[in-house]
This record gives sequence, structure tokens and C-alpha cells, in this order.
Amino acid sequence: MQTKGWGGLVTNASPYAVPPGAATEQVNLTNAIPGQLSCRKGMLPVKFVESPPPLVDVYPYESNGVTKLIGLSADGEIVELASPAYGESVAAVEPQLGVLAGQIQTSYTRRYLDGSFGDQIDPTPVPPEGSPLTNVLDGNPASAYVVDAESQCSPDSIEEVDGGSSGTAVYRPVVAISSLCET
Amino acid sequence: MITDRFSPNFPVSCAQGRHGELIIVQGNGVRPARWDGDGAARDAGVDAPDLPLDVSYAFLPENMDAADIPHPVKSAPGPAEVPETVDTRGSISVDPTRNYYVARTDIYRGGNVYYSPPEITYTTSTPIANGRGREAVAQSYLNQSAVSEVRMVDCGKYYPEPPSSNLSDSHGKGAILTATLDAPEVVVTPGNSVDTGVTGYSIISNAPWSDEAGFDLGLITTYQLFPFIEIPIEENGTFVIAGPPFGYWWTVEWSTNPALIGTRQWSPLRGYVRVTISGKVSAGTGAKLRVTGSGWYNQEGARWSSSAASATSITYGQGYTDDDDIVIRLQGNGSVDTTVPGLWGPSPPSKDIVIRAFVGTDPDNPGTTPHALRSIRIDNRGSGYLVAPDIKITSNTGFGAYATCTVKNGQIDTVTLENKGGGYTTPPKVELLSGGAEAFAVARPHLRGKYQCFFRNVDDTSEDRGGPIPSNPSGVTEVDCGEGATSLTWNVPLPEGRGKAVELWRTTSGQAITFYRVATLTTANQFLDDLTDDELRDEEREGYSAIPIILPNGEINAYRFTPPPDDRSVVVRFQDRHWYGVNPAGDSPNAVYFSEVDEPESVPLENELVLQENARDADALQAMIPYGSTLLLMQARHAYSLTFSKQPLLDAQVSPVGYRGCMNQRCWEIHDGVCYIMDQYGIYAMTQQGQIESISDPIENIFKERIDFSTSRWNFLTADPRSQVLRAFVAMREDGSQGFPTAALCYSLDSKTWWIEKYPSEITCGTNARMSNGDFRCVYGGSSGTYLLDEGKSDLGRASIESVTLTNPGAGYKKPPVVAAPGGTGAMLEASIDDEGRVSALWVKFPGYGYEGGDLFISPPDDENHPSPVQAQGTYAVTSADADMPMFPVYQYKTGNHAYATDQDDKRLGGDQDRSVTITYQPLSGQCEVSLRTYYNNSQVPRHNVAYRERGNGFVHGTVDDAARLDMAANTEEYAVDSGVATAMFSGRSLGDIRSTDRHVAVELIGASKSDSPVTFYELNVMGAE
Repeated sequence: MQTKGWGGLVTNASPYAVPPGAATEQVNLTNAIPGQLSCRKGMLPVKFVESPPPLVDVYPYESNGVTKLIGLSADGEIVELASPAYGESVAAVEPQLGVLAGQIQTSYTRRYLDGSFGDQIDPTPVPPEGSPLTNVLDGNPASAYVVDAESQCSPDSIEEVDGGSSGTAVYRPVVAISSLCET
Repeated sequence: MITDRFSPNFPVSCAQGRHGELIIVQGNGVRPARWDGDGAARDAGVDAPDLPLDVSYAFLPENMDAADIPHPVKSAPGPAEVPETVDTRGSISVDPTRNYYVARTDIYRGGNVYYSPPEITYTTSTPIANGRGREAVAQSYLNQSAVSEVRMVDCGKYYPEPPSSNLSDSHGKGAILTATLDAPEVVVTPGNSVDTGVTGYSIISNAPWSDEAGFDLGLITTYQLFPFIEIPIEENGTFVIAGPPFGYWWTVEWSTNPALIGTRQWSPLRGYVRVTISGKVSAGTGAKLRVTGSGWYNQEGARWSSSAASATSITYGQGYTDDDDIVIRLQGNGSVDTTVPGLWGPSPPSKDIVIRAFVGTDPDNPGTTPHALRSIRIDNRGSGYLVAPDIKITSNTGFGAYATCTVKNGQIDTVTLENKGGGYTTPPKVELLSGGAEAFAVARPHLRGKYQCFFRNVDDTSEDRGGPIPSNPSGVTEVDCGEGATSLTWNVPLPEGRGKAVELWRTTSGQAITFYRVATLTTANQFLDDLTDDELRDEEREGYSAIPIILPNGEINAYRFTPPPDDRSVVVRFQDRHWYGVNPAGDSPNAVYFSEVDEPESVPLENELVLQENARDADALQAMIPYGSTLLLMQARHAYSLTFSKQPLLDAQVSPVGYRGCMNQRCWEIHDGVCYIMDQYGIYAMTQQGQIESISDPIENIFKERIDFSTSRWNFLTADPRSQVLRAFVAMREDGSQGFPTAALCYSLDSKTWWIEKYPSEITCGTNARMSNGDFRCVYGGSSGTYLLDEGKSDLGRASIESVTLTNPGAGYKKPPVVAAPGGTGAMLEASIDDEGRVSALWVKFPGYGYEGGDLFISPPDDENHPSPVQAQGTYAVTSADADMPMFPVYQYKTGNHAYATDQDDKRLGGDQDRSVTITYQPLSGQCEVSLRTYYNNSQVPRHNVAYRERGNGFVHGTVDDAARLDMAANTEEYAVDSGVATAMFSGRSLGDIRSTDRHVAVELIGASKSDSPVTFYELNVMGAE
């Protein structure tokens, strides 16, 4: 069987009759470009003058050259969202894995950590490109991503970094950007 | 926040009007709202006052019984009582005193030779005293130097009585002309005047006639000598006047006919006549009348009879006037001697000789000779004559004279007698026709007759936003002002809510068609209305406005301001009107209501159209789609088109166009001129020509089996103009979202193919909108705000499952157990088992959202023969529920079942067969693994890897999971460019005569897209499979 193109999702047919390239299951893989099967991109936040609440309905509104969105919030409030603009896209990071002996942990990215041979923690993942995070403890197998302490200036900055020495102590490789100084 | 009136349990619907106003509806009894682009939203439409006006009279109107008036009526005239407090029902009090205004001024004589329009003033005997009163002002207009029209500039008011009008003398005047008769000169002695003397007499009634005497006419001899008598005309009275001595004069015949008057020819005695003078009123004196007798006699009988032969003037006298109407009545005295009166008795009055005396200028004067005119003399040239006036020549005797004149420097310059006329016994009167215009002021009481009154509430919407928005009238109340009243005092309740002011409206007298705005009250609730009809109609009046109750074509007008209905959950704008519909579970589910033109908040109940259901199907309207020149009315299973030209009530046409429907108002989108609609059967495209094409046939079973229609109101459809992708967000039954969409059925308009997208947070809505930089994008809303989909580096998870931990592998499993996380939506978990019946690992196929973390549900072991089955256990961890967590998009692709060739097809295939799977992919910049799994013979469980294998071809076959893993990171260690081709090596046999042999294979690719560039596959080859 050799695909001559991607026929997209065909569920209303016998699985034996689905032509090559077509799929019985196709989630988050798009055929928008003919001839290739691409994972969709992510979700880019849309920013407004004010932070939008959870919405259940939304409508556009334009008047006098001003664009707004009118949304029905999950609280039943009609809210006005002015000046829609592209938000920042933040790269995802791998979830940190850590298990006790005899356990197996898997992430949604299909990484896994097998504790069959004792307490295990996730091996050091590669920092994502462009990440504000810095692996200052590079080479420490027990470390997670941590923030460069010199770059922290917020009150809740991390003053002590524990690379973690047990399966129950895992530092998340994510720190809120708002807690970082811009320098 | 704009408003909090709406429920989060139902979608809203919005439609923007021409003034930027946004109408928001939700149905279900929620009052629609209007929003103007900033600030808070308000009620859509303005509520009308609850009750009509009450009326209190200070008098009982004519032709009205007290029983007909729902309030006490005063017996004595006087101002009506104004209530001190105003309840919810407004009222009007009538002041029955009468004051007047000038309704108009009529010209009934235009006059002549006006050099400028005369000023008009109005006067009354009693001046205007009321402080609110003012004088009327009018402007006159000329037409060919005559006053032709008077227009009221200000009708004035509070005249205590009807005024009279006066015109200024802005015309030529002062010229005097005199006519001269073409008659010989008359020499008159002193003391006599041909003009003021009595110059002529006329015998009106004469003495007896022969037939009355009974004589034989053959015997009558006309008497040649006539007696006479002279009578001075000095004063009124009765006098006995003697004839001349030995003369002959009347006396009364002694014959048997006592009525006769005769003369005695030979009588030596004087005759006497009783004379009665009457009608003299002037002081004239000196006139003397001579009455000469004439007659006959009968010689045989010596009987005579006579009459007055003539009456002539002896002297004219002077000082008499035309007012004198002098009559001289002569009566036989009956005696020849004054000393012997009543010899025979007086003659009867009917036999009197009656003579009329005429003053010289009296045109009836029989003593005057008629003449033509000789000339007309200018005695005074006057002034102010811009044009030559006509000359009017009037006379009681002659006629026909005609003269013209010329003017110079405003004066009469010359007069030309064009026609001398004739028959003038006295000089005619010559007038220059100048001035003389007369006007009549038509005055009326301020109020008279019957007035129709109402009030209504208005809001404070600015005019550029189409405001102010009024309510319907309070209900019309008739106020009878009888024959006159001065004012009405309105007392009205000020509105609450959206209404910010009250408008007072009434008609002019005696009509009920057009109402005029009297005033607008914002703070005070009382208003003295003394507007006259002209003031009411004056377009220049501040606050003026007029509104007909109905339009000429019969449409309602004043009552069109009914607020939009609160039971319709959808509003759209179509051809300058807003349309309200969709109430599937309520009354009139197939009725739509439309607003007045460009008045989205004016939705009278009369503006109703009802879909006529002829399909033997109790279907209900679900959506309305403005589509080109058509409004599609979409039921669940039927589609209708509505078109109209001007007035839907008159010319709307509704036609069925298809037997497909629409799920709800959110389930349609128009893209590139094609309308894409989702109903319960799938998604289809409808062109403007009404052609319907289903596009969801490849996934039709999803609609039949997997979509949760129980709360389908949240499903929605978008068309992304940038990517040319339709996304139908639907709630899948297996996701347990309780209504909100959990997945998007995506359709590429370019490649005509389908796929499913799932996101790790709740996507509840979407719309196309213009970004601040001008991009037109499809923006989606959800649990953490708004997003662009298929953009950005990562998904944003909310309480999504990021990892699962198998804490106890259990025992006794023959098939992978069912794994589920309680709560949350959309997570897809699975387990793999090893060859010993234990769970080898738990996997997250999709992280879902809305989870709290904790223990997983893992179904019990299914190996009934296992000696000690143990239920596996596991836990799961989730991302933050309060903040978005960037997550890698995960993907999954699975082919259909493709058959392997067997040894029955080719004997050479009886041995090991190469079943390798080769994928062609885009090498990526970073680590990014794809798991390739194989499913044989339509199994729902992938084939487990028996042993760890790593053959150096990129794929690694592990034992924890059932996949062959490939890191698609570009290989940078080699000099050549990464080919992007990798093969997972498999092999096996397919023996046609063995039932359990591998006959079909399906290949699955699953993983997360971790790189900056999306994971992309170009080809998939499965060796050995067809």
C-alpha cells in the first residue's frame, strides 16, 4: 500500500474499503495543503485591551473603524473586547516525569519513564529553542530546568535551586514569564 | 461589562444596525439589549407608558353626558384643578377660559395702486394682558399693486377677544379730480342755486280723470286757460294756500262724486288748496313751486274737472341738499273761501295731487337736461402713485364716461377723457381707485373642538445613533375643548429604565390623523400647553415634530415602536430591517418578526410572518441566514427562502428551497459566496441558486452516531478565510461535555478532505473578525479567552492531563483495560498490556481539559481464568486550571485495513513477507518522536512488541508501549541532507488457509508535534499490503 495522497478522514465506510491515504482516524493532522499530512499548529492567544474572560459566545462588532468582539462570558455577562491583536506564542515544554519504583509514567507527548528498576526521574530534556529558561545545572542528571537566578528580580523569584534528589521532589521547568525581569 | 442580563446557558445572537447599534438577543424571556459601541447596554426598545391619559374638565363639553366622562365634572366654569401629584397614569386638565389667536387673515378687497405691501396690525379693545401673550404678526403681499395675500408670521395669542386687522395706507393718495358736464352756462340770480336749489318737480299722482267723473267725453272741452297756484317750499307742514284772485283753482266738485277736484273758471272767489309739505330736512329756503292746472269742463252741466298740468319752479332757492326728499301733497280744500271751510268737505287722500321736489344735483331731477362730460380737472395731483390708478366715474344719471391718467413722480400727471359718456344731469363723481384693501382677521380660541392626545417615553440616544428612540404611545385620549379653551395642563409620570424623557403629543383640532409633539419633559412632569394649532404645526417651533398615526398606505406608524420580542433567540439584519426569530420550544416557533426600516428596536406585532408548514412535519425554525438577496429561514429539516421588495407584509414571498435544515444560528457560515450549513445530518453547501450539495458524506456516520444532539445549541461552524478550512465544532458523545463542543470536524475547501481537530481547552465559539492590524481572521473563544486556531507554537491547556502514572500493573488482563479519568472533557487514555496479562503502560492519546488530577479508572481484569487477578491502578496529573499551559499538539492518524497478499495469491509468499512500513516526513529541528503502531485484522488493539529492537534505521521498537518510535529530528551528524524517509521493519506470513493469519493491517501514526515546524508526512508505504 502506497499513499498517492492523503484522502482525509473517511469514517462512513467499511474500514476495509478506505482507500490508501485515507484515514479512519485523523486527529489534528490536516490536509489543508494537498499532498501532505501536517499536524496543525497550536492556539495563538488573541489579546485585547482587557483580558478576556471565559467565553461561550462571541460576535464581531465594527463601528467607525474600530473593531471589537462582543462576547458572552461563562458568567452570563456580555463583555466588550477591544482592539484584537496577536498574542505571544509560548513554546511548550515537556512535562517533567518522575516515578517511584515499579511505576511507569507517561506524558501526553508519549514520553515515558519506567521505574521498574528503581526510583526514576526524567532524564534531562533539551531546552526548547528560544526558551527563557536556562539549564544552569547542565550535566546534573537530577536537575530540572531552572531559571537563571541572576535574571530574577521579582519578589517571588527563586532564591535556591534544588536540582531534586528524590522521586518526590520535582521542579517544574516552567516559571511564569511575568516573574522574570526583562534584563 | 456591557450587561449581565443574559444567561450563560444559551447562546446570544447579535446584529448591528446602520447607526452602529448592536442588538443582542437570547430569547427565553430575556429582554433584548441594545449596545452602542461603548458603555453599558440598555433595553432594546423603550417601554410604553402603562396607561393612557386621564382628562379633567372644568366644564362639561357640549354633546357629552357626564356619565361619559370617567371623572367628576364641575358644574361651574373655571380653571380645572391640576393634581398636585402624578400617579402612573398621566392626566390633562383643561382651562376653559377663552383667549384668541389669529388663525389667518383673509383678503376680501385687494385695493389698488399700493406701492408697498401694507403693514398689518391687529387691535382689540382690550389689550393682551397675559404674560405669555404676544401680538400677531403678518406679512402682506402685492400682486400687480393690489394686496393679494396675507401670511401669518406669528399668529399671536392670548387676545382676550377676536382682534380686527388694519392695513396701512401704503398706496397713492390725495389726488382729486372733478368732472365738468358739457352743458351751457346757467345764469342764476342771487339767492338761487342750480345745485342746492329746488330746480325740478315731478307730478307723482294727479287729479281725477274724466272717466272717474262719469261725463260724456263728447261733451268735454279742453279748457285752455289754466289756473295755477304758487307754493313756497320752506318747511314741512300743512298749509292752506289761496290761488290768485279770480283765478281758477281747485275746489271740490259738488257733484255726486265728491272725489273730484275741479276748478271754477268764473268764480270771483279765490280757490284754496290745502298743501302738505313733507320730507324737507335741510335748511334750504327760497324755493317756490308753481302748479299749473289743466283740465276740461262740461258746459252742459257746468261741471269741471282738472288736474295739475305742470309743476315748475318759480325760484330755486338755495341750501337744499340731496338728503331732502320733499313731497308736496295738494288737496282740495272743499271751500272757496278760507272762512268757509268744509263746504263740501275735503277730497279723499287718494285723490290728492302729489308732487315730488328735486334739488338741483338730484339725478332724478326731471328739470335737468342730461349732458356728456366735457372734461375732468385735476384739483390735486396727490402722491405715492407708482402706477397710474384707474379712474372711476360714477353717476346716478349718466353713464359711459371713461378716463385714464398718467403718473409722474408719484403724482397724477395727466387725465385723458377717453369717452365722454352721456346722460349726466349732474357732474359725476370721479375717483381714483387707490388703496382700499381690506383684510379680515380670522381669530380662533387657542383650543377649540376635540384633540387627540398621548404621551410616550423616549430615551437619550443621540441622533447620530438613530435616536432618540421612542416608545409606543400611551394610548390616545380625546380631549374636548368645546367652543373654546385656553390651555391644557399635562401631568405625566417620568419614565424609568431606558426612557429618559416624556414626549407630549396631540393633534390639531378636529382631526385624528397627524399628531404633533407638544413638548419633551426630562425633569418636570407638568407642562402648560397653550399652543395654538398654528404653533403646533409650525415646523420652526422648537421641538416640533409630526407623526401620522398611520401611513397613507395603511401601515401603522405611531404605534410601530414596540420593543423587540424577548422570546426570539436570533436576530439578523436583512435589507435594512432586523429580523427576530427562532423559538423552537415556545409559542409560534415558525413566526418571524421584522423591524421597521433602520429601526431595529421597532418591532410591532403586526410585523409578523409565519412559515406555512406544508411538509407534514412538525418542524421549527432554528436559524435565519441573510444570504444575498434572500433570507434563508432554516428549520431543523427544511429550508425556506424569504424575499421581499419594500414591505414584507405586502410583498414578502416565502418559498421552500431544500429539505435540509440547520442545527442552530451558529451552524452556518458564508464563504466565497457559498453558504455552508450544518444540520443534524451533516454539513452541506448551498449556492445562491438554491443548489444543495452535501460535503460531509465521508464522515456522515459521525453525525449519526457520535455527535451529542441533546444540547446542540452550542455547536457552531466557522469558515477560516485564511486557511480555507471549515470547522464544525460539535459535542462528541464520548467526550461528555454536556453540550459544549469538544471537537472540530474540519474540511479543507481546497483538498476536499476531512479531519478532526481537538484542543486541550474548551472552544465554545468563533467568529470572523478584523484584527487591529487589518487581518481578517477567525477568532475563537473558550475557557481561557480568545485564540486563533492552527496558529502559534503550542496548544494552551487548561486542567489538561499531562501525564499518567501506572502505579499498579494489575494482573489478569487479556485485553488492554479501559482507562478513564473522572471529570473533565475529551481526554483519551489507553493502556497497553504485556504478554503476562499486566498493564505495561498507560497512555494519553489526547489530554482533554477540565480535569482535576487524581486516580484513574482502570477497568478490572478480563481473564476469568486468571488465578489472582488484580485490577490495575494509576494516577494522572493535570496542568493548571487557572492558567493556560503551553502544550504540544498531539496527532493521530490511522489507515483503513489493507489486505496482505497471501500464499494463495502468490506461492512465493508462503515464507516471511516484508511488511515494513516506510514514512516520508519532514525532518525537524528538534527531538520529535512519532509512534507507529500496527493493527492487524481490524483489531482495536495494536500489535505488542515482543522485544526491544533498534536496528539503526531510526525506528526503535520498545516493550513499554506497542509502537515503533522514530525521532524525526533532522540527522545532523551525517554530511548528507536528511532524507526524511524511515522504515519500520516488520515481517510475517500470510497464509491463506489459516484463519488467524494476518490478512489485513492498519497503520497508525501518533505523537506530539514538538518542533517549531509542524510534523508533516508526505508518504506512507506499507509493504505487502494492497
